[in-house]
Amino acid sequence: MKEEHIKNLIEKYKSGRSSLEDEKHLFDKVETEVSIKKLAFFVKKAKREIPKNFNEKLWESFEKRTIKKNKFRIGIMSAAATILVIITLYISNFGYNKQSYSEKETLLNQAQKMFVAPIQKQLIHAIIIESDLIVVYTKIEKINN
Amino acid sequence: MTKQDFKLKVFLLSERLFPMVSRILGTEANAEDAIQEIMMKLWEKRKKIEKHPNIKGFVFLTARNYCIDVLRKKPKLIDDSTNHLKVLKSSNIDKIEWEELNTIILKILKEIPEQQKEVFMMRDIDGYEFTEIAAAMQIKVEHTRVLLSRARKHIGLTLEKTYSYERGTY
Repeated sequence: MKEEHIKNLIEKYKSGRSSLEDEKHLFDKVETEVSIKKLAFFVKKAKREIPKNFNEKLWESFEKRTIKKNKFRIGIMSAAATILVIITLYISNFGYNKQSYSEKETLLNQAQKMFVAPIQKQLIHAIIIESDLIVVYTKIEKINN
Repeated sequence: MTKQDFKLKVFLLSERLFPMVSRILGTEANAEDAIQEIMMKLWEKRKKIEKHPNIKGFVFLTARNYCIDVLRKKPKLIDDSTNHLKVLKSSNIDKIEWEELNTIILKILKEIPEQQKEVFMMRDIDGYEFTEIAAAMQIKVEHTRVLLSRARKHIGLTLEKTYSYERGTY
């Protein structure tokens, strides 16, 4: 490489005007300038190699994750839809059976008329003996009409 | 944005993100998991990305911000973006030279401003284009060149001095 060309390349590099290609060329070929030589060694050592088929491998696991997430989302949506349908049905049925108080009272009266009034019994107790330990009493049933 | 569009416009940048993410986070395994997470985040934002004028820039910015977030959450484990350099392994032949040079450059990098350091690392070590660096750091391309130039001049001059002293020519 001509000295003039190397000088220009170093100048471009230091002023931040060099292309990536220029920089590769500089680091690979220039041995004369100490700072460039040392930097080239540092860059070569510090550079991280991209693992082979990185995009492909990552895409496979990405696909699995997004499909899983989609399935989970569909599951949640289905459960939410089912709950929504149940609530809607419940509310609509509840509204359908709703009766006013007067209607309910009329129905209750009609139902009551269907039965004979139950015989009510009244119990009358008469105490014969009473002490601390024992109480003896009689019981009489009185029928109320 | 369909899955195929996402793959072509966004996901295939994963390889491009690898050098920066692995350098900032320190290990390749961490980088792989991080890029996976970054892509999941971008996938969730795919409707927004579709309308973005600079998709590539947005991907780089998201990746860098994600790494910075990870570092913030683990301040005791990883302290700066040059951290991985301390644990890099090298062959026996280069070992002494590498260790010496690594120590010197790490010391120089600590002396320069954070932005200059980051631009230098992204360009010279990760091998990014100026547009990619500018997008990731949210600065203009011209500013990126200025920062890089300052960093390179300072590093070059310090290296020159250090090795000239060693040779006894300074």
